[in-house]
Amino acid sequence: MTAIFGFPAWVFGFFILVAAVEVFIWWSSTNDVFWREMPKERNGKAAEKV
Amino acid sequence: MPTETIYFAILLVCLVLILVVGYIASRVSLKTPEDYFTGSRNFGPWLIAFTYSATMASGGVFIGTAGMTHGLGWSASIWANGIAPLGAVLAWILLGNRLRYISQEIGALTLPDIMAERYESKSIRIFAAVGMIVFLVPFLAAQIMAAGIVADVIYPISYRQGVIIFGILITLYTVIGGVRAVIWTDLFQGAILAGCFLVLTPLALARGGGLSNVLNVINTQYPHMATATNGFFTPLMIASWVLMFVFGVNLAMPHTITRFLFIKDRAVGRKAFPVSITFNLWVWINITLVSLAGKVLYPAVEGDSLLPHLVQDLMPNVLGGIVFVALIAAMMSTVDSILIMISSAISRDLFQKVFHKSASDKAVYQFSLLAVVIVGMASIAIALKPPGSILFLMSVSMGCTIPLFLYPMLGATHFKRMNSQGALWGMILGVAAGVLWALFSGWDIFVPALVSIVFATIGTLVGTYTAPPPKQEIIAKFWGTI
Repeated sequence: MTAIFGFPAWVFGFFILVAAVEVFIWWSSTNDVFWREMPKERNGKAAEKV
Repeated sequence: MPTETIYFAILLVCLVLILVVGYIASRVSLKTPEDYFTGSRNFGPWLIAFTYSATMASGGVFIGTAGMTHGLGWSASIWANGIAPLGAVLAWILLGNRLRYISQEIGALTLPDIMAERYESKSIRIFAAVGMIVFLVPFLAAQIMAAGIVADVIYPISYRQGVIIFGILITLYTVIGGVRAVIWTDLFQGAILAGCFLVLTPLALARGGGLSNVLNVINTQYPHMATATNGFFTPLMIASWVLMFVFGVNLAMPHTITRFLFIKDRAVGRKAFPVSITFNLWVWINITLVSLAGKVLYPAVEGDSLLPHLVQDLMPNVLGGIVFVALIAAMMSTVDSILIMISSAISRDLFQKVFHKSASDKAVYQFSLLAVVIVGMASIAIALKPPGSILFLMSVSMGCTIPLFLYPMLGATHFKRMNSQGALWGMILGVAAGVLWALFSGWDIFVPALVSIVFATIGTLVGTYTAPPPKQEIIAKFWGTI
């Protein structure tokens, strides 16, 4: 069995996936990629400005 | 002083603190059903993150996963636990922002509120609410049973006393403080849960000769624990568990997805999302390392008793007592969330929206308190005289609850073409398949849910495409545009 830093290779692969997900979700907290305004919310703001 | 007594004293201190938190929560305005069931959505990102994660992490994470990892190794760690936070990522992405928006747009306090509005169907509201009551009360009872078993093993009280103490305490703070008490105590319980690993994991690894020694022993002496597949986790079983965790539990179990209704605005959701997932990954990796170290230290111990064994052997009394409180806290945070959700199904979805439409907010609020007490007492009664094992109750509950919410929620957030016929047929076929499979085809926890998902898929697709699409105004209301 192949081990990387003592972890089975497939487990190490899973860790890399988890690390990638962690980086992705923390990056997502810096922008609105998953928290966009819905059209009505945008329209509401536009109406307020007018 | 006997160790058992010290553990029990620490538990009592923490239970009192939890009650105090519940009491403080009750001092904030609690007059309307909206206050009681959503806390008027007045929660910051940490509260939202912790209530989601602590609700998701039930007592089974400690006992069941630790036991399985001790026996089966990495395969159990990843397929039975590690995959769940990844499913939660999907739930946050697919449902988080949409359910936040929809619940505020239509003034929904419960998931059946959203379903009734989206599918313009009272039958769907009733089906979902009754289904929640019927199928989640046993789930609730199963969690309280687990707390009773732990109490019996660790503390100087019997199973019966444990069930009564924990059941009454959770009911009490939920009654007095509503969802605000549930969410505030979730933060407290989640902090104990996550914090206990700061001590437990280093201690367990140090006693096991360090991380590299633990990994080396597992790889060389227990090679079956290093493989991805084995006699239990066959490729089919892995597919079932992954499907279940990713699509079933995270996208459909109502006690977790209801948390998205409490998100005040996009800024709160955006910050809560990564905190919540990181919390669950932290718990997962720590429980895995502790369980593997436990295998090196106590190879012969029976899996489910690994954690109590390890704590009693390794930790000073006070710290050990805190770890055991974390175990109880994990159960409590799941139980309180389910308890208040079932009571909302009774008081909001059935009493206010079906049987007594002219009921005032005050009457609904008072009825909600009564519903929490009734549901709490019913769960305690079932836990005292259980009709089956914990596994059986969980199996039936999950198998039948998932089809009630999986597609109707996706239909409310993404699947515009879905209509009431699709929602209703998916629910009926899924629940029927889940019940029949659980009763007649064995007790495996995930198989009934898997079968019910397959039948719910068929029912939803056939129902949806053999009937007209929903009205344009419904699409406009839910998506903000046509």
